Amino acid sequence: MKRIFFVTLLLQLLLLPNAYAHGFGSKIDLPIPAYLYWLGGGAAVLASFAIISLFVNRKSHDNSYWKYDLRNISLINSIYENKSILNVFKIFSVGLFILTILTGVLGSQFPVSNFAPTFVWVIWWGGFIWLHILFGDSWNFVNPWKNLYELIKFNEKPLRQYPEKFKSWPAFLFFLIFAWVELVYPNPADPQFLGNLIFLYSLVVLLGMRVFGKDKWLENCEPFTVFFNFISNFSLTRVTDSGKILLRPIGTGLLDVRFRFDQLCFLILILSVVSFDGLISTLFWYDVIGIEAFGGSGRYDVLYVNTVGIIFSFLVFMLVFYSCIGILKIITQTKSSINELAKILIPSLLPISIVYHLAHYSAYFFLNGQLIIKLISDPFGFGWDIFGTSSYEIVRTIDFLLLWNYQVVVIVIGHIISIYIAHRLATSIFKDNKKVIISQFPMLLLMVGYTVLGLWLLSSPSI
Amino acid sequence: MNSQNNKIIIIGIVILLASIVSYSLINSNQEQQSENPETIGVVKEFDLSIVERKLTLDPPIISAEIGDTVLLRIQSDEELMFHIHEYNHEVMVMPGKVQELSFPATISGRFEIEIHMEEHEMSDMDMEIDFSNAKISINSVEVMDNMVTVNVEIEGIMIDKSGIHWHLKLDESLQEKDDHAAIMVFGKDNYMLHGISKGEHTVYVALVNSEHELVSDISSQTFIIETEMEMNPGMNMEEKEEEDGEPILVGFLEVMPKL
Repeated sequence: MKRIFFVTLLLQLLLLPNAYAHGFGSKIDLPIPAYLYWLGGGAAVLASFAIISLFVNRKSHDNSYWKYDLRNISLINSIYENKSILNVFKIFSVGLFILTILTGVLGSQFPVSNFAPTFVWVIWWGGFIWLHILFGDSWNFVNPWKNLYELIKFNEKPLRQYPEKFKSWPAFLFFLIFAWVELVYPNPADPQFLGNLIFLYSLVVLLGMRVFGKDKWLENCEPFTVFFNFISNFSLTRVTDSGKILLRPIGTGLLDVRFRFDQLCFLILILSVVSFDGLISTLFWYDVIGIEAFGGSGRYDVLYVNTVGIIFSFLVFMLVFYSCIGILKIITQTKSSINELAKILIPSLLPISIVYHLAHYSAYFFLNGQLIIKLISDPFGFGWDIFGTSSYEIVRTIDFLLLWNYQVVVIVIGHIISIYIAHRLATSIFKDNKKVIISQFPMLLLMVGYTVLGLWLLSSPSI
Repeated sequence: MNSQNNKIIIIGIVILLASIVSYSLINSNQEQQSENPETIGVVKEFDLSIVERKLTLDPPIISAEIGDTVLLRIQSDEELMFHIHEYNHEVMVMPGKVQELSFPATISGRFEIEIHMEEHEMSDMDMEIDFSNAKISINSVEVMDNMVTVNVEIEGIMIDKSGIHWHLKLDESLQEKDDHAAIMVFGKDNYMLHGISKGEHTVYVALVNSEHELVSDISSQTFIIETEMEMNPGMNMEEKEEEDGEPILVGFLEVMPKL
């Protein structure tokens, strides 16, 4: 019986229905106008030099920053210590997770009428990152697989030792597959596909946690735990291992982290994937690959090119990053190896990639995200009206001027934070202040380049 | 002390940068406003050609500003339906004829322009079809919140369902010919209308030939919508997914906000 079920499931995955015209809902965001693109780029360059000039005469080389333990505030402390609130979160997250699978598999197969695609792609992937920036590692609290595992109370003792030589490469691989599904797979918003995929992946995660131990699996093989853990280094607050809730200036948490090579690759992958996402919808990209942007069968036409492209873009980003580090090594004549320097400086690229994610998904989140108001009342698309919101119509008359300014401003702010972090990290490598300054020029080049790329992607005509 | 000073300077620079950015933004907005003091009512004209199911415009983006009137003159090398998303303007384009479509740009954003091929050889069929007894009547109008399904019954023509072509309009009677505001329905005997506002409405239907001329009497039915809904200009009638003829994306209508 079980076998039949799995065969049916696999067949469902393979025999996919025809693609809906363009994912779900039409794209109604506008590219930022050229003047804003130039202005943003100019502001980034100006800010870079301003920050560098600030550090010219700097003598102190400490990596400390201002922090405050929020548990000193009794209200926050009592909320934190109240386990029942935490349990409510856990049950809620597991509930949402089960709802996503059920709606995907059993609900209406028209993506805009189904809870699963909007919840997964727009709310969770496009918007959840905001919670991380403000409240630290929220995924740790709401991770449905972890919570489900804890609620079921599986035996904590792992069956096998996790092979340490694999490090976090399984997570890297899973993230690459996830990115491929999001960006390249022709029909990622197909509810049944999404429901089945989440179900299958859940089996893998639960099995993995049981075999290798919950924490080992999550840390090394669960891509979203690794991804959101990276983001929480940037966040305004963070719960430390000793149970403190630290409030600190945004981005400064990156001064504490040291990444391994596998983590460095994961971070470059995040950076390359989000940029590749912007690139593949531009008319420029269609020109480059020589495929007609209009009149074809959408993602089917670019399936193979973009599959190669997603891997190629990662390699290009690696090459560019390592070239900059190579230049940095040559001009500073340091004895540290290129790999050593790369691992120390890589955290400074995180702010740039986070802000690009925010800018890139903003219109999508504010416009398509409104669908969730309608869908909470009718998650299966069966015509229910649980909360009386099922007839909600998306407000499409948004203030684009505000949206554009938001996009440019977050990108420039992210750029400033990146430059600042890179400089502070460089002080931990070089004792000589002059070398610190010199070392910043290749990093500056890289960051101005990435910021301008981000702005250009936001301003390019796309489909 | 030095580090303290640096912090203050950093904060100062960030504030300065923020003010420069916001100043330039406001300034550039004002400049653009003063350059175009009376943009309301500007007619933006576009001559569009669809050749081999592609727009010859490069890039295929029609740009307008809020308040403009967009006038499209569309030509095509084959019979097709030209459709702009969200604005929900739909016109039939015949080869050899220039079809005009004019509308005010009221919602800003980027809207997909699609063409739909109608795989019905209507002109050939017309020769054989005798419309003299053709009759269409509304069987029922099923109301569900702000959505209605109009079910019709077609009699007096001896063709299969796929060859049927009729027009439908809400709250306004159909014109004898060249009714560009009408919704064209092919090959089925029901049609779903979405996003209809609260109140009393009348739906009109009539059979047409391949030249979109009425060939039957107009049938109508009145119904009442009791659910309140939020209205957006130009969006009160929304056609949902296409059931036949895979739509082809040919370009975009880009309506910029008023700066």
